[in-house]
Amino acid sequence: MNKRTLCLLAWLWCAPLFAQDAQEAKPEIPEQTELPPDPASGPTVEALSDTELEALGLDAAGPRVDTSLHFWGFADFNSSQTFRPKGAVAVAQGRHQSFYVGNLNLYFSKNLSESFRTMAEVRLTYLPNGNFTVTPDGYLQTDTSAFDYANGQVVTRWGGIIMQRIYLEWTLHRFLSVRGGQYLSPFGVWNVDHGTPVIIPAQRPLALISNLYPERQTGLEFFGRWNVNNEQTLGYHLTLSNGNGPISEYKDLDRNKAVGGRLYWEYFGKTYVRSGVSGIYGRDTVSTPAATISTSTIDLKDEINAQADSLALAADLLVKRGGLHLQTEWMSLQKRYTTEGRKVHAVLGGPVAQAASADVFSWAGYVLGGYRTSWYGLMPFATFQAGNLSLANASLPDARLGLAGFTTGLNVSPIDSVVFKIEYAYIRVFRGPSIVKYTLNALLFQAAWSF
Amino acid sequence: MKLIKLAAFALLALAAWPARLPVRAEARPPLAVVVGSELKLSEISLATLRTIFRGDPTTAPDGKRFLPLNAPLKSFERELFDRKVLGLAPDEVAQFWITRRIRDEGLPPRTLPSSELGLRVVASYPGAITYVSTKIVKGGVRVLKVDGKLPTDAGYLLSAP
Repeated sequence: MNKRTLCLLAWLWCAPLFAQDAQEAKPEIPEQTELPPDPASGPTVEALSDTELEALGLDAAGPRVDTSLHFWGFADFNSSQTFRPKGAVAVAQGRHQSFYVGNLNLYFSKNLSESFRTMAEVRLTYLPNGNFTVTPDGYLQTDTSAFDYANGQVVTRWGGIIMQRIYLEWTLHRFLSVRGGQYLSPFGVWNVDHGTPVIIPAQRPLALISNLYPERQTGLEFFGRWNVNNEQTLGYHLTLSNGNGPISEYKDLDRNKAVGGRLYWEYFGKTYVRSGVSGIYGRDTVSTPAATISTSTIDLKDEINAQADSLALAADLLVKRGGLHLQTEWMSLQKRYTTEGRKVHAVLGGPVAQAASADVFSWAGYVLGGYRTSWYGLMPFATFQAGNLSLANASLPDARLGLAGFTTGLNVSPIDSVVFKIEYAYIRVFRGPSIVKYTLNALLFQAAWSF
Repeated sequence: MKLIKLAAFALLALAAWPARLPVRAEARPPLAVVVGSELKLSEISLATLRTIFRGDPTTAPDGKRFLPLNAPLKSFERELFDRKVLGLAPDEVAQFWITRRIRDEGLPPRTLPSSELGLRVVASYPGAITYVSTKIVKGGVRVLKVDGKLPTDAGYLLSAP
């Protein structure tokens, strides 16, 4: 190869270097960061006038919180198909494929000042229409049909409102806030998450529907959190409430207040971890007032139908890393009846016709795992659950159920506020009275959205 | 023979031609966490930043609340801050705030249409706190040390990757 050829080759090799667009050539060394400017020298930020701040909704003299009323919510539409349902499963789940709107929850919140805020969540529901109870006399269903006076007396079916929570919150310090009103019991992961758009499966696990731990309480809640260091936080909740009676939303049927609490730990690293333990102790009383009326006085006495001291305990763990999501909860309930509250009652489908209430220990738990992919937010998931429960039903007060099951499905989020779920659920009652000893096989579909 | 030489030359030239010159991505300046210069604060920890920008009530040195201000959605500043402080990838942010709203744990901080406006609000509104590129920092605001480090220091939290 002669010199001319070598030169030509060298030129050809180097040509792209010179031909490179100057704007495309990037520095090999990261740009030297400028020191933060000295406020006393150089250009200064042009401050906004009060009018400009007001246009942004900021009042320099007012509270440093957004005091506007916020309104949001979530809803879900479902389809449920049970396969070969029998007995109690057919009664509870229905025998045919059904469409239904499950939740329509509306939230309102407003900061009343920097320290005070209020929040309410209500759920609109078709209940009590169609609600059923199984009695020794058979299957009784509630019918809420009524003539609509505003629309030519057409027959309409009225529904109800479930007050999920409403409270006034007073923040004294980051370590101490106080809520007064009705609030969701601070335990586990699911009970406070509770919104179908953020819950991975379509259906709550047994541990959450068995009323082992009260879902909500009315009373006071104290809570706060403390940053241990950059990666770890400790938090607490303390509750003082009416407990878990039949009308605990507004009346305590005994003198004993329920006392509860939760301690949790959060870790903010590449893996996010939250773990906590919760407990609540109180007396559950079911009573009816009996009045003796004379000419000058009314004497009230409580007729106790059932009364038990109850201790509910729960533990939970949530782990997230990238798309991986693992959560598990375990909860238990111990009930010890008082002498006055241990009543003889009818036993439906049992070996004897009548029995006295027995002290019980119930427990249930689940493990949920899923992986969120980046493709449309697709998340395959699976849940395993098991429990040994006392069936909380008026006609089967002491029935013990041993059950286990699994669910598996897909959770897809095409946009941030919409989630579709399809799930197969298998739950087997392997121990219990023959009246409830059936297997649930169901295919569920849910579209949940937040707004 | 000439044809062979020409072919060999063409092959050599082709082999020697660099497929693409290595071009480094533009190095982004780090983010500065800024407050108004009247606020008696020079340093903040990652944990406190996280608390403020998760919407938890946090008291500023003047006894009133901090007012956190977010950079525009999908901006480089917002994505870097969410990742480094809240531990959230861009596709996790929306679900994170929906979950917190449903749990009633806090609403997201106010989002301003530009970082420049954020800087002006911080300079004008006591207790306001935001994060901006160090490129646009001017006088009238104070750049906070984060975990004892300024944006110029090695190992600073809010440095671009």
